[in-house]
Amino acid sequence: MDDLDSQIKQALRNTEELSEDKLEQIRKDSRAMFEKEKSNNNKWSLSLMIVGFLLIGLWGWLFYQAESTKMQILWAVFLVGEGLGIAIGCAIHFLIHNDLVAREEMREIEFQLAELKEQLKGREA
Amino acid sequence: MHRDKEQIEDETLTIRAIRGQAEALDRLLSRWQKRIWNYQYGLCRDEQAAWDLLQETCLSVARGIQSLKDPTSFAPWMFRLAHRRYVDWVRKDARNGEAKARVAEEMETNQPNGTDGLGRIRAAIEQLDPDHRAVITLTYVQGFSYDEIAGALELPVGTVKSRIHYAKQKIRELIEKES
Repeated sequence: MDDLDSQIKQALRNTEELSEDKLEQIRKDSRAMFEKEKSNNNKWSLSLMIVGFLLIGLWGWLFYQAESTKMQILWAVFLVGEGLGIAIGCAIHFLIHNDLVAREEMREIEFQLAELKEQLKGREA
Repeated sequence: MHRDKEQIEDETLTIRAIRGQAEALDRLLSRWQKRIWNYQYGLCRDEQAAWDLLQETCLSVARGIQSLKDPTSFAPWMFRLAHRRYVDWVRKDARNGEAKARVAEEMETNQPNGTDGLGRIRAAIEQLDPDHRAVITLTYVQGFSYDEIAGALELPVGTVKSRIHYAKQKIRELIEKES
């Protein structure tokens, strides 16, 4: 029973042919869902950005209209706070984006290296 | 860490899908669909249900891939979604009753086929319960590590190890009984 592992592997090997049409249809539906989700995400980001800028405008207007220094300080804190929040949010977004781009490039290089290694092995053999 | 070309390509495609490229998702799904179908069919033993579960799994992937944090963990993540869809299917009582009857019927018709070595092993695997079939499939067909199986099935690593051990022991016993 020493080779039980390899026997299980062989026994589980599935040779059944699946309908390519059905698989293709599932991919089409998934793609439609993906596009819908992407457009929803974009809508959300756009709405949040508009609300953010409207609020900044509101804090600025209130700051400009304030009659006492205390109120001016309060609205200035809101204004600066929100500005900082937006800046940090944008920085995180760009960092994530840049990280993904860098990782994608790294994987492409790694893939090319793996291919070269295979070619070298082939030549050696 | 040495990784093969397939793993590297999966990660590249996952990153592209996270960045919003629909073609990348399409290619990822075409690489994994059959494996997911086989896994789910292995658990539910119902062809139509396996197609429905595959459809639901792929839609879940399409919905959630842009929020996937770690692109290296696409495969365990997809199997986690696949397993969750299977668990949801089991929970639907009426269908479950129907499915159990079908599985029992199928197991009865499958048993006499195990005359040769592989046939006996196949019949023994058929007799395992779905929890043990799941770990065996992920180990031997997908080649997942203990950690990846634990992630896919949302179980502690210790439980995964003990399930694999139990399943192998059970297969051995069943084969010995048959021969």
